[in-house]
Amino acid sequence: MFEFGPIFNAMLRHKSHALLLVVQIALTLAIVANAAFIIQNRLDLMNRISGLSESEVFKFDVFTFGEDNDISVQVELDEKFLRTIPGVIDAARLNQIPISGSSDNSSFSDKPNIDGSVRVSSGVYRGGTHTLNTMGVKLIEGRNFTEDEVLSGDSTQPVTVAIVSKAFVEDMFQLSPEDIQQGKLQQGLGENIYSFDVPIKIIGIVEKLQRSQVNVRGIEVSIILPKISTNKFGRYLVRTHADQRQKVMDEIEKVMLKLYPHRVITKPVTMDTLRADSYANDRMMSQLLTILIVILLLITSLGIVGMAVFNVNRRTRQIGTRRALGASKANIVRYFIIENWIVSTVGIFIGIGLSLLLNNFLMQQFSLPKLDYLYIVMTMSGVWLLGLIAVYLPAKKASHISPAIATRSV
Amino acid sequence: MFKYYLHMAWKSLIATPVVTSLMLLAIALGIATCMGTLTIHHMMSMDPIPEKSQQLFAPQLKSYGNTVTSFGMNDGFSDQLTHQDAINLRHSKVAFRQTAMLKTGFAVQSDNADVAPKLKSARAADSDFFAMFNAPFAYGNTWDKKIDEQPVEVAVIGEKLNQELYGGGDNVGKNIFLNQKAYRIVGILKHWEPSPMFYDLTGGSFNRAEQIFIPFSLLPVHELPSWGSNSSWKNEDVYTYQDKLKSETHWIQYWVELTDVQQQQSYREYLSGYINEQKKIGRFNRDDATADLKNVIQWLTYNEVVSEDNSVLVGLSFLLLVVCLVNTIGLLLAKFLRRAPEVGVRRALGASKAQVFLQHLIEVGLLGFSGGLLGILLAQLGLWLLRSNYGSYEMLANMDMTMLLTAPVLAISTSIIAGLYPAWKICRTQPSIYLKSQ
Amino acid sequence: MLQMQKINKIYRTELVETHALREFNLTVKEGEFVTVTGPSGSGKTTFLNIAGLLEEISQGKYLLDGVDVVGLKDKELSRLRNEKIGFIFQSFNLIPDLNLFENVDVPLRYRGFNAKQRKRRIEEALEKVGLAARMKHLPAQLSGGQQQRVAIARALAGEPKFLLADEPTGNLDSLMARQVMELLKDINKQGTTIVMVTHDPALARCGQRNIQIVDGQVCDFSLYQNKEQNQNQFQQHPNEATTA
Ligand SMILES: Nc1ncnc2c1ncn2[C@@H]1O[C@H](COP(=O)(O)OP(=O)(O)OP(=O)(O)O)[C@@H](O)[C@H]1O
Ligand SMILES: [Mg+2]
Repeated sequence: MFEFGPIFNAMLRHKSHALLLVVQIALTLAIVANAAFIIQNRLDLMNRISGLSESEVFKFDVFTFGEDNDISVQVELDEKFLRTIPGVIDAARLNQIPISGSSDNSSFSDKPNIDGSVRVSSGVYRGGTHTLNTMGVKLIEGRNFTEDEVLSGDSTQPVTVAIVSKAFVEDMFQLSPEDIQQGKLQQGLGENIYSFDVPIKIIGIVEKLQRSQVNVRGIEVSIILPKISTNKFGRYLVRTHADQRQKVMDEIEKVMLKLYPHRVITKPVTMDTLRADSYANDRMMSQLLTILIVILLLITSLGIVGMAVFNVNRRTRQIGTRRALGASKANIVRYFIIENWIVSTVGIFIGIGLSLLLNNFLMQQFSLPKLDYLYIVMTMSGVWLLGLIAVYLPAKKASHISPAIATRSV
Repeated sequence: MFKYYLHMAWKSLIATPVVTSLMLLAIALGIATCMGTLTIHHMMSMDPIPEKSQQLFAPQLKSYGNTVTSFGMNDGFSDQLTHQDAINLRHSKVAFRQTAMLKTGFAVQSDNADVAPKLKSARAADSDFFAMFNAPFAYGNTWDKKIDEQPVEVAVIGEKLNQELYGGGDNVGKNIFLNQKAYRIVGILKHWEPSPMFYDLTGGSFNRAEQIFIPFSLLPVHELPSWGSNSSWKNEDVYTYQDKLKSETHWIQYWVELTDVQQQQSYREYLSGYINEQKKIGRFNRDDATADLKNVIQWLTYNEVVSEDNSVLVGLSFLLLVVCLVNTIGLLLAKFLRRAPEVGVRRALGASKAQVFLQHLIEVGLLGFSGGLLGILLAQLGLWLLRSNYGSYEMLANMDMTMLLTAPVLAISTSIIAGLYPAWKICRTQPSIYLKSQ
Repeated sequence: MLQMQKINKIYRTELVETHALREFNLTVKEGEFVTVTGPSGSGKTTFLNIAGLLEEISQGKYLLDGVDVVGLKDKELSRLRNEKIGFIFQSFNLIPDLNLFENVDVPLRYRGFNAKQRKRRIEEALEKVGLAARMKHLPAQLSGGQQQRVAIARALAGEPKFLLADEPTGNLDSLMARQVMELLKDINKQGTTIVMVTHDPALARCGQRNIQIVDGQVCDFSLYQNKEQNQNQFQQHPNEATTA
């Protein structure tokens, strides 16, 4: 037995109350759906895989100020020494470290002259033969560099070979996912790409290797060139057995300075730290939005509770009368729940429209993507449930009003 | 009468403690959220040097070659200059003051050689830097203008580094060791941290100002590496530092101080003259090679210093405030209308509509004021949490006087707006209805 | 119809314990019209509430239409109230948010009649009290007497076997009161058992039987068939007679 009609009519006689709640629920839905969507976007960004075996690696920087030694020789000594430390799997000097935020980017094209050819902007890693193993990236096609191919930083010769990421090949040779399925990835192997008019041959393809900057388009488009940088400022990536990483990190400064003292060794950091720093803004955004959602839901449910409590108080007498006329406790609870359900449902449907409007606005004003309808559906059910929960206690309280009220009150 | 209303408002508020707390909480949370996001927005978009922001300009050149289709920022201008251009502009005498700049870094030691060196960033700039950007000196002064042409190892250090290395005090004349080379300290700054760090936004907008400043003329002498952004459009062999100085790499920041409109006009003319000159010798070969001047405010906008995220947050938190507002209207309406019989009696006893209206408005005003104060407290708590969790927000997440005053104003006006409709509704009700039975 | 044996009703509050009914015994037969009188605070309303299943008894036995109601669950009590009992309150208790039609509709909804049945009954009931034309009005738009007639219509619409009225004319002038009484007599003639509390001796005489409650107990059990006796009766409580 439902009593939509009379409930609805009674509500219409207090339009402003119901309307305000409708507006509140609609706005809540719109904000929460959009905020939740933004949060999920950020979480997705943060959870992208770098391609490295992150639990095993750490990085540190070296800044050489002494002028009494040849850095290219020192780099070789450093690398060799690092690899002999117990617990270390491999180590490499690199120009930059994935997701660390610094950037070395360059454009490459498929033909030597610029006009009419594909240009791909890519993150550029420079390192030697140990680069792949130290990073722990997976080589899926071709081969690693040989020692002969690796140039020293002060060499004036151009590099002639490169290992690129799968995403690089996809962009450069414009392969679709179906092409990849059909094994066309190999086609990239052995092809020449061009830095200005210098040809570079692709000799290997790695599954995944993120760039250093995280907020760029094509974050997985990267290239490794066989050249070891010999700047005063340099970076080392060290791969250890996961359980020994901390131990190696703890003593790295001491042993590196022992090897050559006139330099500064920065504090070693893990990929987790780099990730936290690089995504600090996204993390903060999602945390703040979470707080916003919590506050919003809190206020709205308090609003529903408040209105319900008021309604119960206002209607004490009529609830008693209804009870005297034969309404059971369950009938009374149902009355309030149906009433709330009507308001929520109207609010929710208006809220859907508002969500889309808000998303549209955000898309136009800011670089936000199109709202996934799943979020509306999820928020809808959430708001709906919240309404039911919020109204339940006041409704329960209402059902305990004694029917004798009808004869006692004046 | 006002006191009587206030008294009644107070009594009415404490008569319904639950509903009053609900409304208070809603207003406070709404205000706190808005104040929090607004504070950050306000600090991000704050003029870092209000007394001079209309006189400091960053010159820009659209100078990339016609072999590439795009370079630099979206409008084709770069946010930095090549070393060549910087040196050329430095020769001009049109601007009142000017400085070329580069962010670099050193292994830094005090005159106590036993303490291990620390890696610190530094800024190579010209002697005008401090006067241009209003960096105040505690001791000493900037280096001699001659040093801008004839390099000497001198340095100006910041308050914090002075404290860290020497324990504070006047240390002008002492040496600081950068990469083990002695630099004589000629000046020590007072606390100076422009935020946003407008003079170099390439490495992020809210970095702390460097603590070491050395003459720009030392670049070729010590081959100072760039610790900032380097970008080039040209395929050229850059192996040595000399190569880099002569290259088309954009890596130098440049600022000029132009005191009045006339000087700004002259400088614009000078820049277009420079472009033409470079075109003539074939270095700038684009047809649309031009120059631009942007003052500090324009520069901040151009570099999108206010993060998009923050704008989204401000927007969403104001929507949240609207929800709080609607929530409060609903509760007030319910509360007021429940009191209708009492109002009926008051009206019958001679209270005018206006008086009833005022009485209720004062009640919501009181509510709003308390909500606003509570909101400020909550916002402070939130900002404190933000500061302690996100180092980069240490300077941004602080309420200044403007924001502290905004909060109660926002709260009271919000709640008054919320109270208008319920108060109007109640003062409009027919007293007779409620004097009837039932 | 109604059988009460040794009923006790005690109200406990922080300060006092009120023995509103003590060892209360009463039987009302089917089709009877019983009026209840007694001094203020003697327990008349309490009796009515218990009879109408609005309150639980503390002790005793109560059979309503042959059903022992002690210990029944809320749902069963509600159903009994809804199907067997009609209530007329002193203060009408119309629901202000609902119009007349909807007000009379309330008990019928809980009864589970279909829309057509409900409409017929509501119209009939309102017709009976002469307010069919004002079906769409809200209670606030009616006079007190009209409101009470709607309340009666609402009590009658479910065709209860047992009608309980607590000073149904307390808020009405004597002319209105007489009209309401006529209505009740009519209903009684059609077979409905009526128990009515009143302070008005004239109205108390309208019933077939008058009982007096004093201090939570039925005090006198006399049938009033002639005026003299009635007058005697009320002379004992001259103050009460004027309070109505
Ligand atoms: N809910 C309650 N809590 C405590 N005491 C109550 C309650 N309801 C009634 N009483 C007390 O029970 C006693 C009987 O009250 P009842 O309402 O039945 O009197 P009454 O005969 O109807 O009086 P009146 O003629 O004035 O209406 C009174 O003393 C009253 O104070
Ligand atoms: Mg009574």
